[in-house]
Amino acid sequence: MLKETTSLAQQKLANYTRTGDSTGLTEARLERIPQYRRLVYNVIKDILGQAFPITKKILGNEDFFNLCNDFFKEHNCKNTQVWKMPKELIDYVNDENSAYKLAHTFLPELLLFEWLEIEIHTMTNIELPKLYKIDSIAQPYFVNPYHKLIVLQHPLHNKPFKQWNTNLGQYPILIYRNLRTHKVHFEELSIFGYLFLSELQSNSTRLFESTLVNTLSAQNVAITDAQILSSLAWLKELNKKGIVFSV
Amino acid sequence: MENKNLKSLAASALALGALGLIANPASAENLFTSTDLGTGAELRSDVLGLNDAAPSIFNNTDIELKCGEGKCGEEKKAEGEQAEESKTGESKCGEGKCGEEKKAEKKAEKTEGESKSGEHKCGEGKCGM
Repeated sequence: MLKETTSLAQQKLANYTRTGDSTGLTEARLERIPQYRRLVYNVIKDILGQAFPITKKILGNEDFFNLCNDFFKEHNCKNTQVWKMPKELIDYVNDENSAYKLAHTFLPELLLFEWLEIEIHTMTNIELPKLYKIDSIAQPYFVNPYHKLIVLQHPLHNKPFKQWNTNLGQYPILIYRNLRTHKVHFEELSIFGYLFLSELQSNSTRLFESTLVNTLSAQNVAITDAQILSSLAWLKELNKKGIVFSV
Repeated sequence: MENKNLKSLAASALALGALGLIANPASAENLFTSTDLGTGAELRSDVLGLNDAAPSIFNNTDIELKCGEGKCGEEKKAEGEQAEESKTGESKCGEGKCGEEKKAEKKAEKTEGESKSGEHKCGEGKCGM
C-alpha cells in the first residue's frame, strides 16, 4: 500500500502529464517535469497515430495532434490496457458536445472503421465446431465468429474524403479475421447480403431456407428460383473466403 | 436432398405470397453480392492513396525533390512505407527518434507485419532496442 503522500504526488504528476497544469506540483523540479509530459504524450500520440493513420492523413498532422492532446487532457481513460485506448478516442469524439464531431461529421465513423481492424484482430480465440464446405442447404450454417457487420453512411472505403459528405448512403461492410492466416479482411456487401448475414447470426435454426425467407420477406421481396440459386452461389463464395461454413 | 429443400423453399415463398406478406413480387436477381476490399493493410493503402493530394507541375515538393538537398527519394520512400505498413507494431517512446535510431525503428516496423495490433511500449527504456 502506498503512503498517502506518495499517492497524492503521483496523482499530481499524472494530472500534470495529462493537462500540462503544474499547479500544486511543489515537490517536483519544474524545469524538468516537462520531459515527463513529453514522453507520455508522445506515446499517446504515436499509439493513436498508428491506430488511425487515415484519420491522421485526412485531418492533417496539426489537427490530429490537437485532437490527441484534447483527448488526453479531457478524457478520463478507463482501460488499463494501452492498446484499447484508441477505442476511447471514439467515445470522446462521439460525445454530443464534441466540437470535433460537429466540425467533421464523418469522424466517429472513420475512427470506428479504423478501430475495428484492431478489435477484430485481437478478438479472443474461441473453440470452433468442425467446419465444412457448403455443398448442401440442409445443414445449419456457421458464420466466422471473428467478424463485425457495419453500415457506413460515408463511402470511406472507395471515395476521396472530399466526396464523403456528398455521397451519403448505406455502405454495408463486413470486417472479418481469416481463420487460417489471422489477417483482417474487409468485404463490401450488398444491403441484402448484409441483412442475410445479420439474420443468419440471429436465426436459431441457422438454416439457409428460413434465413433467406426471413431476409427477403422482411423487405417485401418475393423469392424466385433465380434468387435462390444466386444467393447459394454467393454463399459458396463466402465459404471459399472463410466467412460462412456448414457445420 | 438439395432439390427437395429448394422445392420446400419455393413452397414457403408461395405461401408467404399467398398470405400477402410479400408486397412486391418483382425483384432483381442478384440481391446478394459482395466485393472483396482486401486486407486491412491493402484497404488502408488504397484509402490513403485515394486521399493523396493531386500532383501538380507547380507543386513545391516536386521542385524540391529535384535539387540535391532537402527531401531525397530515400526518405520519401521510407515515409510512404511507414504510412502503409506501420499500423501494427509497437508505439515508440518519445525519445531517440533522430538519425540512426529512427532508421532502426522504421526497419523494425516493417518487419513486424501488417496488423495494427501488437504491443505498445511504455514511455521508458524501450526505445532503440
